[in-house]
Amino acid sequence: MATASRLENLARQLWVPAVLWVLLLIVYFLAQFVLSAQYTGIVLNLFITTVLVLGLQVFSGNSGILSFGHIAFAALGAYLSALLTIPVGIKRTTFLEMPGFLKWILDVEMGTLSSTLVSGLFAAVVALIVATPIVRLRGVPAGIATLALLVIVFTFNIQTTSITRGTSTMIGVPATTTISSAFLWALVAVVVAFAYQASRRGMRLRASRENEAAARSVGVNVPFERGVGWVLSAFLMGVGGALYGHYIIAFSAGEFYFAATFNIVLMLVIGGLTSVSGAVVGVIFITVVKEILRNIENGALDGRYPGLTELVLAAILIFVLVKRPRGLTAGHEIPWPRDWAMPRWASRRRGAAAADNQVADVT
Amino acid sequence: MSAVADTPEAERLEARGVQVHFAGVRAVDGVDLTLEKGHILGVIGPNGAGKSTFMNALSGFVRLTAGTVSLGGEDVSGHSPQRMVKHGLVRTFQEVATFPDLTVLENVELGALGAGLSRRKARARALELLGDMRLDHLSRLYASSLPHGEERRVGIARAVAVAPRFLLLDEPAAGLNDAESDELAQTIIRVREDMGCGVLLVEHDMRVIFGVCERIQVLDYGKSVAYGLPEEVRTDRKVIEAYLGKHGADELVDAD
Amino acid sequence: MASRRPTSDSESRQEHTIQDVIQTAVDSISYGALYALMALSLALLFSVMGLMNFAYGELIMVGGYTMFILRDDSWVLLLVITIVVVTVISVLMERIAFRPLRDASPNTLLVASFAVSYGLQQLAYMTVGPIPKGVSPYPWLVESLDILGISVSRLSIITFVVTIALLIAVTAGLNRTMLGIQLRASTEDFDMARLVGVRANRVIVAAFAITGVLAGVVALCYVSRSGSVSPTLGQGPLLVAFVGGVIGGLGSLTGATIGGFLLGAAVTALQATLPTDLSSYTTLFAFSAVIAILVLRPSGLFARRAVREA
Repeated sequence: MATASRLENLARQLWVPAVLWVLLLIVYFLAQFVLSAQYTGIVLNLFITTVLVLGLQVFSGNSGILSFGHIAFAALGAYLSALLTIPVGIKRTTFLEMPGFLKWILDVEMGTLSSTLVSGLFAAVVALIVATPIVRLRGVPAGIATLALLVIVFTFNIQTTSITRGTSTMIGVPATTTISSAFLWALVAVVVAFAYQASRRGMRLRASRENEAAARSVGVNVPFERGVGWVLSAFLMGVGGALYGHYIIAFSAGEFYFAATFNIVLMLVIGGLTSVSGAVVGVIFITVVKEILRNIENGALDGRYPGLTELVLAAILIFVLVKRPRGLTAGHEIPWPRDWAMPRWASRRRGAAAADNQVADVT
Repeated sequence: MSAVADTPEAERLEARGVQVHFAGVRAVDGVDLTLEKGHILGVIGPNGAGKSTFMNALSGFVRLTAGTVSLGGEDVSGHSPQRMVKHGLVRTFQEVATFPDLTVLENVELGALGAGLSRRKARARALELLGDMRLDHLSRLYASSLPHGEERRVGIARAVAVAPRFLLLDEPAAGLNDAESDELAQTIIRVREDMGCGVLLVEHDMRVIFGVCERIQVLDYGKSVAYGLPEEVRTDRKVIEAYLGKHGADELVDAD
Repeated sequence: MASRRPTSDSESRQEHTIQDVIQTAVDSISYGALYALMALSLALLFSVMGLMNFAYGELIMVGGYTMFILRDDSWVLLLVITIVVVTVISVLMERIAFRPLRDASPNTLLVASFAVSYGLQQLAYMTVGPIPKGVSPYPWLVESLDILGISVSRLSIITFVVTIALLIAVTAGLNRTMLGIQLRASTEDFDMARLVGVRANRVIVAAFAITGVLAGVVALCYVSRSGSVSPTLGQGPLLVAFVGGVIGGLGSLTGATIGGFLLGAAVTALQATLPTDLSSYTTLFAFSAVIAILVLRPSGLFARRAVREA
């Protein structure tokens, strides 16, 4: 009996990441064996976006502070990983004005895996440096500050042409992100995000999201916990940015600005900010909707209305904010099968009747 | 009052001359209070008497304008709430008793983590406490899905899990019906017996106050106007004045 | 003869410099006032309903396209219709996107305003396309006027007069009219204002209408100077007004207006005097200042400190 219940406890703990792994695995198999080759890029992109949206979720989901600045960390990851991996010969002829303190990078030629990890660490270090002001803010001021961070990094990237080539694209970035490597990173990101959420630290940060004063009353050091989430999420963003860079190869500063920010915020908010399941569901749901819309835009409408897809996505976002402010998953994890009947899906504010719909949405 | 003098200093939460002013308003204006370990002290007073602000001051959520707070003889005035927790002073809040989107188990576990336990021990302790308080069947539910009475008890379980030496409860019975209030009163008494901690209870519900408190202190206009046994306080003219106004108190005395 | 020439040359160069300085000064003040109008609008919406409206920039873009469509019509028609269209869009924005979110958290409102902003930009891409359209101002508008021997463009003067007049009018309206008093009460404490009988819908629609009219005027002045309109036209001026507003204090109408004016004037002056890339690096410092002020003086530099219990 005791063994059985211990087994159940273990199974319960692994349940959510396992379901999300299976979900991603299904997508991977569809792309590899069922769908035509034209979808490979879309699915690859989906896996990279999963890493990015989970990166955002680690901070915003657990702290309740929506960040508009996380794409900045992805930009840092993409640029650093590119600079570390571009063949030395190309680098020497391309980056003629590389500032002195970075000259060493011209002679470096790393493998993609190590450069991706280094890029994640670099993003985390930068996050640590800027954390001091950010973790002291909440609500709208926090949103504005993170947005300011985005503008700062973008301005730096576009102005500092000697390092980033500014509005011109990078040259010679190795195209090493494959559908399989992106898939594996997405699996890793799921585990990291979920393990953090379930950890002592993650639990404390979630408590501060629910009620900051009450969290302090049980000894939670709120700015510190926010800082931990902030740095970890920046690491995932750096990794995601590096993967993205090695996928599209020729990218410029504009790649990492408002549109990219809108994209990941849209996916996370629609899926459900406060859960890992929400992040993954949001990425898959929006990717599918986007493809359908794009097909309509370029097919039936023959490209006469460029931007239609984005317009409809913006409308969907507002619709979801009004009708389901906590997202498709209601911000909860996919429940253990036998718990579906339990009222854990209901919350008093929404009424018990909502419980059934919520289960239906995820399955 | 003699009981206070007998207790060793190490077993007391003491406030001396506590003042809190907001932009010239004296919300708390020189209050003394002594809470002994193992005792339940009620703090009552009309709305706006400064009870909540006083509790915020004791627990480090509001800066003291003047006065001192000491825990077991150690001056803790001006400490942050987290440091207060480390010293064994734990409080609850009006209205929101729990973290609604965390499970009942996680709520209580957070309290146990606040006591400095490891993750594994914290979980074990949380489960044990929930069992003691007959809440274990709810452990996997989100706190927001509980009825009010049970949610309040989870809030108390969370505070108790921190293993406080002194527990400050801010209107735990607000919004509860009579049955729920009685259950809550029993919980408070049991917590005191099990933990041996001192309990400071700020409450409007007189059933709860007179049901569980050994001593009662009355605040009005930010000042302490009475202190004593429940019977003494109940008949104190200054207390009646505080609630009914001077005129009302006169009428009441005349009617007697 | 030989000695005279250089003197005359340097004299004329000096005249030229004085000329530039004065033109820049007038520009700085008039465009500073323009940014002040925008910052005032942002602050009005922010304090009434906790909305940081990033879609405000798109109102200017909509105004710009209206001007593009009406570019060959009479200036009276262009003026009136542009203001009307922008105001209507502003009110519609409230009705469609923000009213259903009235009780949502400020965070949700922020996301919604991003969505509206992004959606309107995409709408412009879809209908007009990404290529900037020229809106050449009426020739008489850019003519230089001689004032006390100094020539200044008519547009600068008109912008200056109109924006200052509007700032005075809005201030007077907020202080004198019943609606204005209700609006101000709502910016101080919206819940309290509702309790004493201020009708929420009326006040909020009024706030969107007023800020819409202001956006219409800003569009007229701004696009006449820039001479072209593209889907992302609103982003630049919005960011300047927004940063200025935060620096001055978005929770206070006066603070935000002063902040918007000072930053707008500074940006205009810098753009005229510094090489372009350096003036872009100033963006970096402006936004660093935003973060610093949010942390150190959350109520802004020019707003009186909010007296609130912690």
